[in-house]
Amino acid sequence: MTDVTDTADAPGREERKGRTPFVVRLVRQPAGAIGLAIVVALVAIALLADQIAPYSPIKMAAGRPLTSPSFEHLLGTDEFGRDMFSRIVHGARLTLQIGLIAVGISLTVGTLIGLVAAYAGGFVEKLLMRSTDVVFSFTETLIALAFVAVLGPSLENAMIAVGIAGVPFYARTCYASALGEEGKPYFEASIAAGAGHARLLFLHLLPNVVPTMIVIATLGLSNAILAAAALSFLGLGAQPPTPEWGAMLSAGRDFFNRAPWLMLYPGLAIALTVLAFNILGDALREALDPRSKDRS
Amino acid sequence: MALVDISGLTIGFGAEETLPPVVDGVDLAIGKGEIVALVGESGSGKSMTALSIVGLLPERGKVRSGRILFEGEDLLKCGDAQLRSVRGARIGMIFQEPMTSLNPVLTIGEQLVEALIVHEKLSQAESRKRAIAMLERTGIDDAARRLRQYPHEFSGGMRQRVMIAMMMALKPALLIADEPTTALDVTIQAQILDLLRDMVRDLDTSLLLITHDMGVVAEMADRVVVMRGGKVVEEGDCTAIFAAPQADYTRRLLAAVPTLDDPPRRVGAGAFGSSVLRLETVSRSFGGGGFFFAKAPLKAVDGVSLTVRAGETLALVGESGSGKSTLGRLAMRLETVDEGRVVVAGEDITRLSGRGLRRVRRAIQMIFQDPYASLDPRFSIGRTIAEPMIVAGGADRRKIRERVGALLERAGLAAAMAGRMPHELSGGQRQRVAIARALAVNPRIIVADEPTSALDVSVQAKILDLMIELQEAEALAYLFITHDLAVVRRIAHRVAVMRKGRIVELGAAADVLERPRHPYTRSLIAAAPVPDPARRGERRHAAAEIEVPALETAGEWRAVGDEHWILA
Repeated sequence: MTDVTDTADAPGREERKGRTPFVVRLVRQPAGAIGLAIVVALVAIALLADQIAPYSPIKMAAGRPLTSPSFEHLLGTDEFGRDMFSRIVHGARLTLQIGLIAVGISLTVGTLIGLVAAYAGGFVEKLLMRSTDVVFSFTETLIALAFVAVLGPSLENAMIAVGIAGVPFYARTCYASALGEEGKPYFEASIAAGAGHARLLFLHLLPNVVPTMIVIATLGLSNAILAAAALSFLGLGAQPPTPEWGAMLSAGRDFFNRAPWLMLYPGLAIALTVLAFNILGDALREALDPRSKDRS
Repeated sequence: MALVDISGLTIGFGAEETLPPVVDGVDLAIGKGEIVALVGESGSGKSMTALSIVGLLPERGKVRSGRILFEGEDLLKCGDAQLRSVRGARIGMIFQEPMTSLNPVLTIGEQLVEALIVHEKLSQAESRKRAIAMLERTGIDDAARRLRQYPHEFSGGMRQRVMIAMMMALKPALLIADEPTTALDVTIQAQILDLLRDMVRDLDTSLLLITHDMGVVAEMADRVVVMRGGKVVEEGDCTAIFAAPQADYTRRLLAAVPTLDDPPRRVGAGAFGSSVLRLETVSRSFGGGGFFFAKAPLKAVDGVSLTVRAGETLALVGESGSGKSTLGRLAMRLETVDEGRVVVAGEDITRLSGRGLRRVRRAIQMIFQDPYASLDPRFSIGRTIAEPMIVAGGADRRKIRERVGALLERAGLAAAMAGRMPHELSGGQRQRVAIARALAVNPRIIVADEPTSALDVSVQAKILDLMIELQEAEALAYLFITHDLAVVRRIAHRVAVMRKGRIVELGAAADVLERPRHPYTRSLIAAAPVPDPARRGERRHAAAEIEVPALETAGEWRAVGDEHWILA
């Protein structure tokens, strides 16, 4: 992209100014600011649940069963007369935990498998990717079920199961993205310079696939929360009376006609969380990209 | 009245106050049946000007002022529907990339016929007949059968013929061709240009040809418009501009174009040092195997032997698919050879692996064609250049930083650029960084795979100068892979001509370029564009006369001169 003038191809004109800090670059985008604000608020709610919630989340008959939202019970009560607002506030804690831990497991394991498969090639590649394909061919819930069946029903095991069930998707995405980077000349130049496996894998490949993976992960968060909810619904995840959004959503189904708020508010909470992480993810990718324009 | 009359055209991206326009008050007229070449380097605004005629500006690009009269009507005031009927029917467009400008999931016939049905309201049968006639007119044999084929079954040159057939079937008043032959081999390029010219002359169509290649301009244009930085700097008759350019910029642009008439690099015998790269009957095939049926493997490189000595440039010339890039990658051990040996700086690297390979391979480095992909977008310039030194170990941070600065300056950049990121650099600057990185490990030889073909001519000239200067200072050897014979003339001491995986001619640059003995080399040289309108058509006739025999099955090397061999 140069011109015949000397300026374009000539030595750098000025010393580069220091890079804008990462957080500033993130928050400068409207999406980043909003996403981050919601996520911070959610985390704060989760941490301060005991202070915020007016009732205990598991106390039955805090009010009359199935009362519609009022000043006393902001979001109404459920079939046992538990205060929905308190349950949702406490549920934030568990739901965020489940989402983050499950996605964390899928992301780490999946990225590693994808990277190694793309880099190693040959037999290792075939072994890793074909096994991933086999796992991929079952639905995630089924895999998660199988794992819970082995590990025993508990919330922790549900997180692990959902996390593992998500691995193939992350591995596939990472693999495709890493293959693309691997074919680029900068990677081969690095090989020619004598770079070792670790340097090629973690300094060249990994940073260049991370932006893709981050976006995938924020989208995957909703999946993980819903998959955990499905397990809870089957009695294999969060055990009653533990407040967990997914489980609450499932439980509310039976009363949908009489008390729609039982489904509405947990559903809204999940949707808001997923939305917040999604737009935060987009902003993160932009902020992580060295090419992003928004820099001074 | 002119067919197209553009006046005061100003195009900008984003808000007017913050960003300067990319096209700034351009006036341009194209007469009926006229071939106008719009010339300029990247960023000159030539493509934007052309795209605005068909209303295909990129999303954020806006016409800020001016008017575009086409057949007396202002296209900028047209509605979408009206514009659509003009596009295709009255104005055709041919793009650079023949590989992507046809839809891969539709047959050639479907795509040709579709345009005719939409714009000409012809019946299916009539359209088909017209499509076949057009394909035949563009020199495609067996057109009826070809209509049922998909784009991937056509070569690049054939696809460009299909594109031309598709556009010309509608008999447009104006055809816009954006770098139509840049992606093609020279021999094909000559044919496509001929075809394009004949077609527009036959149908009395005007042609707006956008190109950076002065050879193409000289071959085609009636009138030339030179653009720079969004403005028209010179405009005039083609012959006049080549003979006596008025604007300073045009003069420099023409001077920077390498030609086959430049004096070649000559070096007396024995001027070079010992061999730094030796390829001994290396071969490499791709494909083969297959799950159910054995496929015949493609021999990309077939028993090639070469030696490059210290301080010498060996140019590897050939058309796409000749195996020249594969040969470079074999020398780098980025591909492994099936047979033969690769000896770098006296050590056989064919069977090395791991640490041993990493140590030896530093003697041979590479510069790649695409300046955008050859630097890690997440590494700063300094970090990129420091990498080979960090990997080699043994140097402390301060020393490395000093050496990075020194290398940057060696490559003609400021040491302060170390802190920049690749995307902040121009193509030429990136290529300089790639050179600095290659030099970081004090290599004996650099494999340069088309290092200047993605650059503008003026930048290309500077990069070649830099490479020559470095070579003379440090007795570097180059294996210079290119398709551009004029570039070969600038930089090479010796030339190896490759065809279908084999070297067909090898000798001193002056000998091979001036007294080519192999018919294939002769046809390549005859097809090379000459940036001189006075010699228009010369190469067409010259190229047509040469009969290139089919691939030599088991040729033998024959000496035809001093250090000059051909495969015959």
